Amino acid sequence: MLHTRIGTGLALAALAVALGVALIGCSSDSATPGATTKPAAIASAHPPKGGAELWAQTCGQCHNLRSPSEFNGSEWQVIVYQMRLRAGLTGDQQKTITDFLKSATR
Amino acid sequence: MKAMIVGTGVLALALAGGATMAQDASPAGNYVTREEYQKLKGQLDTMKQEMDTLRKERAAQQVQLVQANKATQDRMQQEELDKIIDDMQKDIRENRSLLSGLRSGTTRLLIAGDVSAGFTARRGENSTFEATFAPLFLWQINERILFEGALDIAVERNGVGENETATDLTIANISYLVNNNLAITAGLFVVPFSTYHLHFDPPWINKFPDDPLAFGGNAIAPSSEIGVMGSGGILIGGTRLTYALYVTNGPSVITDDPNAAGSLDFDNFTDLNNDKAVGGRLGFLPIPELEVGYSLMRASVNPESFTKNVNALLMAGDANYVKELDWLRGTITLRAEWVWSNVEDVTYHPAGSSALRFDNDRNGGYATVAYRPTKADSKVIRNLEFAVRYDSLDVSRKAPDGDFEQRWTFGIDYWLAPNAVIKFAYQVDDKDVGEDQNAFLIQFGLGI
Repeated sequence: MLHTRIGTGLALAALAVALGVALIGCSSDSATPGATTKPAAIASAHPPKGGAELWAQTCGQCHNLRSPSEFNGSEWQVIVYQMRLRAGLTGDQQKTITDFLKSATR
Repeated sequence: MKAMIVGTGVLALALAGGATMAQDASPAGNYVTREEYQKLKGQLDTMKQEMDTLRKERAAQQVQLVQANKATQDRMQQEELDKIIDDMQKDIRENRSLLSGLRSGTTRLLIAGDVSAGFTARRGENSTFEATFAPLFLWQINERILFEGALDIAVERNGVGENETATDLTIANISYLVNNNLAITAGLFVVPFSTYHLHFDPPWINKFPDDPLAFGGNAIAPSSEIGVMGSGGILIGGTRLTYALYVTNGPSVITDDPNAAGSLDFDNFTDLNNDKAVGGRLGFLPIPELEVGYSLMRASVNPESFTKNVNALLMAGDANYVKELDWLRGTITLRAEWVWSNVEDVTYHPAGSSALRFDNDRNGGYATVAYRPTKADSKVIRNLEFAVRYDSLDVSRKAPDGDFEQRWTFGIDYWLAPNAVIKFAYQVDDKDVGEDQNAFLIQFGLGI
């Protein structure tokens, strides 16, 4: 039971650390001297993104980013479909990332 | 210029004509003196010199004009040539893309997956080399339908001490995209119970050579299940919500093995009691860099022949944070997952053993911190990653396999490519009941 409590405590502590660092990261970014103030419409945590930015953020959360030239457009279409299922992306996000990767392979 | 030359010539002829007339007039006494003759001759010589100069200038100008015309023609020809080359290159690219798309195995069917080769030296065991191969087949039928299939192939020693190639079907499903926010998957799929097997276990993604205890050989969390699932994502304001709900055959509880009674068998894909497992996961991304999730699964896990219905309830919490931070001059990864498993208390009567009854609560998980100096000046330094993991598994001491094991694993990875990594790790093991098994591990992981 003691170990259970220790394990639970460690898990909660890890979650708290993750949240804390996330908040620190956000606050440090926003406090960067000279940083351009974003318009209110795009200042949210998930602003509308271009394909490159969305690809880097969503795919980079789990693994290193592989070069767009590593696969052709048809292959990227299949890969991003599968990644949509794994990562819980919306259809619009899937299309945005696929379009970017297809354009980047040319 | 031409008019000037003609004018000068006319003047010269007029003067010459005048001189002749003067000589012709000499017999009549109206003669030209020697002085006048010399003067006229001097003027004629001067004009001749001027004409020669003008002829030379004109010739030089004509040469320049010809050269300029030639340069213009060359430039125009070069531009036309460049345009033709650009068009040809564009055609080549388009044809190459078309041909690549038509090539067998790539139009709709993509073969991916991963490979690993490793070495483990664990206290109390023979050190050994290991190799695994996990091909992944993706076949997109059309814009909405995808087939996904995967195998785990490994060389291992079986129960009677013989080496054999173990081949496990880990994924075989069909997905259909219903709309922007929903996909339906049916078949054998990776269960979104927590995220380790969903995202992090391939050897080119996992930062360590082995799996955490809760997700490894004696796992207390499912990996693949047969059933049907609805999943997707929803953008809400500035955040994203991910969800998955599924019904599967579910795990089964081991009842007849005296060494493992009470443990859940997640590799049994048939339903033993006609009561399906139900589960799901909710994920939330308040910012793009952070996802937190909660998973739940409820299942009846007893074999049909078992005397009593046995229910199991599994829960898990997970968090994943990845961000490149300027003040750290690198990328930090914070990752934690914890699983709680409760199997209803029942009395087991395994063959060759006395009756067993125990509090069947288990929990385990891991917390990882990794740092990669992605902003370092040196390429060698940028390719290094330092990782530390704490993991543990707590099983009731009254269970046949009861123990509390915790490990600290210290790893250094070197990324040869985004999908190729060499991992070195030292593991400090601590068990309450069994012998501690510190280990040294090396693994080369490659994503195909």
